[in-house]
Amino acid sequence: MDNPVTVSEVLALRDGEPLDPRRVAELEADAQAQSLLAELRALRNELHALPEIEPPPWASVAARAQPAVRPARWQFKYPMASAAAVVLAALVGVASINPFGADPVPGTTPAATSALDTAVRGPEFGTSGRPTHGLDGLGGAAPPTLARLVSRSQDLQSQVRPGGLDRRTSSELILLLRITDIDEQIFALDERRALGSASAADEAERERLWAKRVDMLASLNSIQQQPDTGLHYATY
Amino acid sequence: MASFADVDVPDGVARRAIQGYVDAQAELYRLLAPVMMGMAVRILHNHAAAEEVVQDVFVQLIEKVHTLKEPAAIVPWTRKIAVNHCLMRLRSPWQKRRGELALVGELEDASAAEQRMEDLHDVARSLGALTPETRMVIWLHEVEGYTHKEIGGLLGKTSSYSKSQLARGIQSMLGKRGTNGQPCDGIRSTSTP
Repeated sequence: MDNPVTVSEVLALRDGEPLDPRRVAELEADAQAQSLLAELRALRNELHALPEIEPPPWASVAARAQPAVRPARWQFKYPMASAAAVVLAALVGVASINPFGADPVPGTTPAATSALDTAVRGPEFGTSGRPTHGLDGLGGAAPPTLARLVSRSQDLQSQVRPGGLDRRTSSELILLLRITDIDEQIFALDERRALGSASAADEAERERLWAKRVDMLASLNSIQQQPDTGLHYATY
Repeated sequence: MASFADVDVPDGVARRAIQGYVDAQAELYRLLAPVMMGMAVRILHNHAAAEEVVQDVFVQLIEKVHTLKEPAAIVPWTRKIAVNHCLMRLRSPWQKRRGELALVGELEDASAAEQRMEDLHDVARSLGALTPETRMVIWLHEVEGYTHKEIGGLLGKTSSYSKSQLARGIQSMLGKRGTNGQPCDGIRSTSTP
């Protein structure tokens, strides 16, 4: 053969890449080229046959992945002395709701009252332990799953109108406090999980809490979309 | 089994993993992590860095898998993430320095059993002697079936670059191994520059 055999062209021959047909004929007739071709095929097979290598244990991955689903903490930037006043104001707001619908309390409207009522009651759960209604935007065709609940929760949270406590209605405050409480419960379950002491019941509870969080946030968004009456609770 | 293409993830496992079921994600890990670890070790030539790749990839997978529409896409999607993580580490100045330090002890993080097993494989040793980028080209082309166009795109280069790296790397591997176990004195034939 006039032109020496190159690894590049034998690789191209092996892999079916475009080559001058005359050159292909030359390579196929050349003993050295065929020997090299056999070696290249054998090398590929040997690379494929290299053994798997044991990865780190799943537990190490699972523990690292948990913070990804931990909810963001609500940051209440107020002194502890004001916290008690906020809670009291919120409770007063709830106690003042007129069940007959007349003379709505400042900060509540009929729509806001029903949303608050749903949020306080929480979604209904069927005998399977899964929510049967009350989950905004998730549809009723299939049971909601944790990943979708987390994603939905993040979407709803991003829609919450920012603002100081002096701009919050009693309904909003109650929901915010309840969401904070749910976050604490989810966090506790996450901690148990990371330590490997979570049970199947804990997993079900986690999903239930996330579903409730979604419901609370949906109610909060609904309340915030109501016209602002201009009446809010002041902090002390 | 060295390639992602050899891994069979049952459709039910993939669906449940996408839906967020932890047991399915754990099963996915059991199926994919060994292959991923093998690829990362052979490309990065560093056991600790390869472990980090596997962990980082699966943390990312758990965070994002719910965005997948098709269960069948889960293996190629995971492979793509793993390849990107390997590439990031190859390009990181810190990882380059770490790799230099690791070569002093020659995979000293690996267990003794794994080290012996690697020694038994001429091809693993000859692959390890190459530059990181050439190792990556060879692994992606020969084992994972990437085209030269895909490899060139990943590296920000042309397909011709990928072809020349493959040819040079394989030539080097063949030269080190020789034929019939006999040492070879190097260049077997003239390669295209």
